[in-house]
Amino acid sequence: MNLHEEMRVVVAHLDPEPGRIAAQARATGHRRRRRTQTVGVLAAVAVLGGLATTQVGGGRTRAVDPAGRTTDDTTTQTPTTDSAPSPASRATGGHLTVRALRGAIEEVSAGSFSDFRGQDVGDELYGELTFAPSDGLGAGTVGVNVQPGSILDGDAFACTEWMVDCSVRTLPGGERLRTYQDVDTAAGGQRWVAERLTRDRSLRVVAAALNGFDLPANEFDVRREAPVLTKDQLVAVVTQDVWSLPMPDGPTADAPGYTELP
Amino acid sequence: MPSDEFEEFVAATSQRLLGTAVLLCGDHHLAQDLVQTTYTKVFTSWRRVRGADNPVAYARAILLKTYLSHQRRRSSSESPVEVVPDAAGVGPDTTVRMDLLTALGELSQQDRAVLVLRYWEDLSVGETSRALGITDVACRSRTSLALARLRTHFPDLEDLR
Repeated sequence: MNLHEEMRVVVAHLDPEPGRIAAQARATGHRRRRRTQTVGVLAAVAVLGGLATTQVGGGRTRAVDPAGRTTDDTTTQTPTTDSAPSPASRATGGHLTVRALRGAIEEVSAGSFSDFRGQDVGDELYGELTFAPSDGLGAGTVGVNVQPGSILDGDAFACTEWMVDCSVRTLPGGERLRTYQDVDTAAGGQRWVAERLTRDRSLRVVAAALNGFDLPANEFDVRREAPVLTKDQLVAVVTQDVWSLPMPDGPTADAPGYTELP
Repeated sequence: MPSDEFEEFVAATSQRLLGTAVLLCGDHHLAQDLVQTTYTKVFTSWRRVRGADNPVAYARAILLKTYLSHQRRRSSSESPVEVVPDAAGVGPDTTVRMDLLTALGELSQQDRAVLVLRYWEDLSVGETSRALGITDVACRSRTSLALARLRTHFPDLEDLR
């Protein structure tokens, strides 16, 4: 079964009625422009009147973006701890996740860290960094997803044919662990994956380590022969007691120059 | 604005955008609403869209953002949507069409979006990642997981890269 072809069959007989769509878009769009221009005028009057208002530009209101991103851009070789953040600069979920990732890696391997990035989409967190182990053989990306276990509903949590060197086991406390090599990687790329599912299926933590860096257009920048973390080290990362939804505040490793992914 | 330029853009792009919307929403009527909302936003931003390097990609990005933001406001307990075939839209293999949409409907919104962008829009991992605002690693992880779930319904799904 070819997925693209099956999708093409699904949408083959649709009739979008472009004339109707365009006409309605124009009509609705004109009404919105008249409304936002009115809001802009009212906001300007409020400013003149000394009242607080949101920022206005181009006839449209715009919410003020809250601060929250660190500006420290130095790369450190040794871990440091942040001072307690003020409420105005509270770290985002993605920031907390990548800091926890660095701390978890430091428990299992020595090396240097850089390129801290993360994402918080509400009920899912993501963090990634560049890790160069002290073996001097080259750097690669390590990433972690922290998600509700419901994302795996319907998944048997077993090995499938596209998972190479796959193993699944149950830990004494009832948690499930799955490790494998992901073959869906561009030429030369290697990706080890460790996945943990809590016993009550409330939390899924999946970490991946690469032997280089993903590039656009399905290319891969190979930097070393094997991923920067072994499977056992990835298992140790995902099974540490640092992962939760939401991620907690508290002393964790530093992530200087952290960038929030859009 | 030239009165027919926007209309020409809609005529040239609406078939594909509606297909994307149907695959995302799993429901023809929801997809039509999504497409209508998208083109209304395109119209109000027409100067910017028209001047973009890739106006089609710009419109698709608007559709995606609208879809994802709408889904977040819905209940977290997503359930597959039953497809009501349009009288004018019944094609040669309605069983396959309904099964695939149902299977896609069991995925999370982001996983659905990843598969639609990669295998319907034929975007690369990098293009898909940028369209959804996620990293390439996260995109690959989602792709692998979503395909694995589809394979529980379609075991003969081709080995996709």
